[in-house]
Amino acid sequence: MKRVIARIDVKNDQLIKTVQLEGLRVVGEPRPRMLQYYEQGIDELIYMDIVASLYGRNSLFELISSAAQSCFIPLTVGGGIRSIDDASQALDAGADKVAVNTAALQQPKLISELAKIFGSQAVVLSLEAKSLGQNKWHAYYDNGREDSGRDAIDWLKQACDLGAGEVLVTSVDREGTRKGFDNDLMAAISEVCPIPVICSGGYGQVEHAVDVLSMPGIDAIAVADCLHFERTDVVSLKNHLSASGIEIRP
Amino acid sequence: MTTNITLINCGIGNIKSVEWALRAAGADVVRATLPQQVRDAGIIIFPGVGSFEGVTSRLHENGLYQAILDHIAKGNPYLGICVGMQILFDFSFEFGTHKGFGTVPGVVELMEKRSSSSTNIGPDKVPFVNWSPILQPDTNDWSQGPFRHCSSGDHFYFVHSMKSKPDIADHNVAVTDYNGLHVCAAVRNNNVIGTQFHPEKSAQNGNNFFRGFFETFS
Repeated sequence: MKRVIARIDVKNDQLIKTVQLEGLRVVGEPRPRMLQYYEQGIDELIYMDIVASLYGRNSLFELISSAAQSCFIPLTVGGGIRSIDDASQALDAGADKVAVNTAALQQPKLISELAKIFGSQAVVLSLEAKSLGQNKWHAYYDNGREDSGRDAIDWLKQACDLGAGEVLVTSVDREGTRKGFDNDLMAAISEVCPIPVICSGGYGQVEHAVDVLSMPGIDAIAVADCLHFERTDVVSLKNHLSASGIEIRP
Repeated sequence: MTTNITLINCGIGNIKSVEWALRAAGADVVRATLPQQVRDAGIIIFPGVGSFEGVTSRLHENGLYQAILDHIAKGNPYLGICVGMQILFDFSFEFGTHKGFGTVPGVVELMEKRSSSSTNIGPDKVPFVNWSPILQPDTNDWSQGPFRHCSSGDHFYFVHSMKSKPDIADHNVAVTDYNGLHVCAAVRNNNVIGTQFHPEKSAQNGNNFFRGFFETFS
């Protein structure tokens, strides 16, 4: 069964949408959207605070709490999770999983510490991969702005060994472009990755989702602007996937 | 009528999701951290998160282990979720051998993924993290009991690496299927119920399950 996840990128309490993780547009209030997608049958929610600052955290956790009180599906929270304490606060607010990128690249043992305390199922590696050409990708951080210099696939393997329970792969090149997912990247990852893979960045039309979800090692897609700008809705997207032979939760 | 639920809080994991989902299904919820609160309880729910050993050792430290066993022995209702279900069995083989309540005869063992099993059945990845349909076994009747508002094929959310194997077929009240591997999704032995799935994360189907559970014991 393949999962369809809605990704909620937030800056200063506003739902926003970027192109290649830059040039952001404000969409509106995040909470009503989360409820709407939940009621329409989305399988999970991913909530990313893209500014990833440690300031204004209280309003973030209030928002997570208030969403989790009405959305009875798994909720992942990412952006600015730099320590056990940050993760603990997010989980206490009602998140089921935390996503880590920047802090984990700087200090890989954060992944094993989080996994040991909260369990691997609660630790999602957020991998921002940017193409170097010739089937090579680097892991980026700070919302796709900075090159870590690390090979994305090698970093993913290391994170799996450290105890990451799931990986959210965002193609920096495709994000917000509606040109389709980076299928070469996803194929390379699906071959080596022992943990569930969530594919993000580039959804433009349902065929894009069918292509990537047809790969055996890809477990889920995360979509954002197609829902936010109402180019489709959860029900039609799922109906299309189902009609195309992708096994999903009705 | 409102159902009063005592939610066991052993200090591991997030019990808020469970509390909110129970409220949404119409329950009044109090949290128990002390043995006396368990002794005073009518219906208890234990959402276990983490490892089997981590959960049982925490219950021992807090003095809750014996209090829960006494509660069950008196015939009072218990619902365990995930590790809260696994703890009902005789033993778990998660990172060693650990003793459980022994309320439901059987063991909890590691689930092999499909590629490493000799029979080519099982989940593609372990831990299994996904929605999966639950099915009514032939030996069970869902029109009574906690599944009264559920239908065979309803999707629930699972996150687990270990699978439970009840010795007595009648105790296995719901199953799910991972590429041909039939996995116990719920158990019942009279007043004691356990679910491997997470009803609190299973949208409306989880709400239906909770309401059926309340009605079973009200």
